[in-house]
Amino acid sequence: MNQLTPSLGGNGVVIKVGELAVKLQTIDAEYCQTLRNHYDGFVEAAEHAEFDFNIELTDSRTNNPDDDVKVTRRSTLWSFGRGDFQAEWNMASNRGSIRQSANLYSIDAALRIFHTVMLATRGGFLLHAASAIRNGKAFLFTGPSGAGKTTIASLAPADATLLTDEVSYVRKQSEGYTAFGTPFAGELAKAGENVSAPISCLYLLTQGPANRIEPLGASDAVRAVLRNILFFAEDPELVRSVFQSACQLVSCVPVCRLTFLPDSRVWESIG
Amino acid sequence: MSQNLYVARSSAVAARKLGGEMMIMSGRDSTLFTLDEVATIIWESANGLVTLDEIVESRICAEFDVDPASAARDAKTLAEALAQHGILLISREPILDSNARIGSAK
Amino acid sequence: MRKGQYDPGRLSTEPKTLMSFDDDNRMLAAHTQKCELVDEVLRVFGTVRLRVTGFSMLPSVWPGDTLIILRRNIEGVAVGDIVLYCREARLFAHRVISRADSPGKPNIFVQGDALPAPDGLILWSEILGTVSRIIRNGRYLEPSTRLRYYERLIGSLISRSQSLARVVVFIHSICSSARCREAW
Repeated sequence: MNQLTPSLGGNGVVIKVGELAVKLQTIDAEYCQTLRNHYDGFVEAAEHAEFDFNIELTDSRTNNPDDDVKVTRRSTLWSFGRGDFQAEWNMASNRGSIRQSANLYSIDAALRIFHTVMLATRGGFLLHAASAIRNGKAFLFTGPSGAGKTTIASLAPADATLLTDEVSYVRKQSEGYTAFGTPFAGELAKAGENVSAPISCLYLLTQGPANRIEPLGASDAVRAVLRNILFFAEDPELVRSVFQSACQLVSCVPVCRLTFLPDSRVWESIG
Repeated sequence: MSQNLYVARSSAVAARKLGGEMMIMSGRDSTLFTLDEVATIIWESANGLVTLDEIVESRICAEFDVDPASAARDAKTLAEALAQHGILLISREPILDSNARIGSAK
Repeated sequence: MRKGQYDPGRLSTEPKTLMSFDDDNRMLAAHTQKCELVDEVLRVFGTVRLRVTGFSMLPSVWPGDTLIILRRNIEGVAVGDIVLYCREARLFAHRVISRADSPGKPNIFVQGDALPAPDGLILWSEILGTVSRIIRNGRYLEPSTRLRYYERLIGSLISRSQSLARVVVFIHSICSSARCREAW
């Protein structure tokens, strides 16, 4: 599909994550209400938003044989999709469209991909990390699958506000970097809130026989961050931008290796 | 000694020096390169208007305890490795346009 | 000026550093496919690929096939879909044969196409996703939602005999290799 479907109006919901507001419009009132319920906590009362997507609902079965995520750009036109959805977005007009069936996982993935691209242009990124706020400061816990992100998130004490156990939202703000809550993640993050806090420390997780925190050197820290940044676009300029953001983060925020026993004692040294 | 080889940093990458190491990311495929101290000096000096020999003589041999022949040999090996990855340009003439890429773009 | 100790300039490389959808899938293939890892990848990326090793879904799914799983909750699951679920730390991809919805609590019954009996009631919390594509010999196939008569027959025969299952798989792999060679 080469032409963008013009906004059909009807039903819209504005979802704001990390200070980026996206309006989703659809002629299907029921699906619109589903979106409103799903993104509850991140829905704005506003009529308009900086970014505008029209959702075109299709039948469940798609015929696309290529199920890998693909994010590409030609001039000002972005194109991203997977087997279950296809989206286009025009950088010049800040309007786009998404073609998918009436389910929540496609729109979730589409929004997540959209945010990774927008964040890259604004000095931020999505990180494969759990994050929590304690005493007004945000702490991030990153590492590959199985490192213990969900574990450490589930061990968080009552005075810690869990932002996510999966996908952390990081943006450059004036003095440093801020972590924002998002609606993107699994069951644990249903408890995630639409709050934000300056990032105090980023921990690289390792499970081990004792609780230990060791500072990481700058180059090891950047490597750890880069390996966990979620970024799908085949765009050299944005890749370079994401790299610079990772380097910038590491120069503002301490990064430590956190070796921990899977029990709640680990949180005694955090916050 | 060796041929006059001009070297220039590719502009298709982003680079940042952190903790004494030069970290370079290729915009094309997000490959991450890490250069040690000597490699970093060669990279930082590669402005397209100096030759490898000049870099070796004025920086490497001046700052490190090494004989010029070994240093020149190592520098050429390193430069060729960097060029193979598309992050450094090598030419027998001065390089004025660092947007030029080695090999065909995809 | 005192000169420093010389080390020849070295370069280390790490290909494709940034995390894309494929990366966690490759990590999963390298390690034992634990339920928690699959669940996490599905929650983060919404999709995961898994390699089939068993015979329970013959002839629809063959050992060596790769399944592309999309994350779904139970509302999105229909009779005929092949669902991925976890039970006792093992992953199963079997076909939905019926749904029994009690108020507020949908439950489904699944069965392997080549198994003689259903697996038992699957709770909504056990469902990880549904199979959206099957990759076989480099081709992407859409999973069928209904078995044809001869497929049911084959499944039924195989369900009575493990040895027969192995023979069938062996013959299938020979034919597949022949087709691959022809394609080249």
